[in-house]
Amino acid sequence: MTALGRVGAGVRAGTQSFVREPFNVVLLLVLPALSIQIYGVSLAQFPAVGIFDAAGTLETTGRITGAVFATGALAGVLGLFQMISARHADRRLALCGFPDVELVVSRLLTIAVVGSVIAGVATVTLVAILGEPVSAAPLVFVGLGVAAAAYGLLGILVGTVLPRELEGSLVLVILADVDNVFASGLFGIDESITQFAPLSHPHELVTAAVVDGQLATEHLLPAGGHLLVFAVLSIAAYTYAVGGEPA
Amino acid sequence: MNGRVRTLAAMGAREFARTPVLLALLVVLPVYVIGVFVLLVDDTAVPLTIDGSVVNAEMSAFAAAFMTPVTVAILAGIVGLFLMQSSQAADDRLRLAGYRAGELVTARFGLLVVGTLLVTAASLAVALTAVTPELLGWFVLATVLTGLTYGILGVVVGVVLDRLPGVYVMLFAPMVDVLMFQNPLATDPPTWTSALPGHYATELLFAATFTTSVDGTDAVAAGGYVLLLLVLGTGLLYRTTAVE
Repeated sequence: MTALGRVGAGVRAGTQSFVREPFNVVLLLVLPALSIQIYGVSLAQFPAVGIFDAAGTLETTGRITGAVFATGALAGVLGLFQMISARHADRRLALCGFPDVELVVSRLLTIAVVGSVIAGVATVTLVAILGEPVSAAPLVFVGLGVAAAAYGLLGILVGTVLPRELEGSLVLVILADVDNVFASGLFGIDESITQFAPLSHPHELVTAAVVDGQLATEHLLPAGGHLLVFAVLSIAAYTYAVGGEPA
Repeated sequence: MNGRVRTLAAMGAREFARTPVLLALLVVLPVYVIGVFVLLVDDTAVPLTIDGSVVNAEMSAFAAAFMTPVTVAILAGIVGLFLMQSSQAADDRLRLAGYRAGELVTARFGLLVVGTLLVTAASLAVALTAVTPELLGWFVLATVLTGLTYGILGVVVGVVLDRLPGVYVMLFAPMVDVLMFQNPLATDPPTWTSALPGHYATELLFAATFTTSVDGTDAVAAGGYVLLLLVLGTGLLYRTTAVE
């Protein structure tokens, strides 16, 4: 089998392990819709002035927050569980002669594939629920894709450093929840601090696409920076976990 | 408590103690969440709607009080979920070995209470550096009730769902319920949000923090919610462990 074939087999196996559970597929379809709708309703209960610095209506901001959160959380938890469950299998594959790079690429591509699907479902759901025409739906997908990629990589990183489900879940859930509060602007925390939250730039990208129909170019570079840092860290941790420690 | 329940509880506690990373996380994560918000929010006054009245509070005090139930709910929920998931195989074997379902249920819930109290203590230790509740005892009680509510909900979710979907649910549920719908910054909450699990405990918590009196019905309703979930959780656990 060629290297391409082995990577393809790895991606197929990783994707199928997620799709094999019907409840996962149901959650993939239902959670974004639920999150978008609930966040829209919840932000609409706040006073329109004084607390939030929202670009659109509070309901729209809430729905964008819900979409970004659902996308990031779904991809992050998936990355975490994939890493934890695949760790020993990948270690054995490495011992059997699979090059580390193929295993890393397989894991990253699996996250990319499933993350794209999650971002796609969330984009379609957000556009449908918003009830107002969104002229830049592909840009919404870009923003949500960045959220999925960032949290997919974070999930891999957390799953490598804390390879137990309880501990890993605790850290990832807290990270995602705190990050989402930062990105939502709920506490009015200064942007010079919230810019370091991984979901803040995807949130701005999606907001600009929905409200202005434009690409928020000033957020592309920092979002890419986050992705690069998470990619380097997760690849380094994964390579160490799979190839670097004794069996 | 009979000897077998004591042994089982002791073994569960030993398992906790054997995972120092978990214990460290249960202490460090509340410090991180509550500490970050207390440090980063602007020190401006915000209007809070508590029991229909508007009360002004410093943002940092509000953040400390508010993030306490949020943190406790999230962490207790995840602990409850995995407590159920991780002990299921062992419980099945213990059941076959002669343990009664009631003994297993008692020991598991005892462990959940210990985990919840640990998370609550860590959260309170941080929160109380930034806020001085008017009625400290009620504040502590409300935090414990929030933790127990979500801890037992985690157990229920752990019985019904597998790990991955269970984590998804316990990631969203406390966030949506406590953080979004029990937020006293909101001026126009939908009436149905009062049916959510965190409603009465958080009402009690905010009244105890920022006013000089609490509504006793909030405490009773929050306790009732815990009891109701406990009955549901016990029933489900009992059914799960009653394996022949």
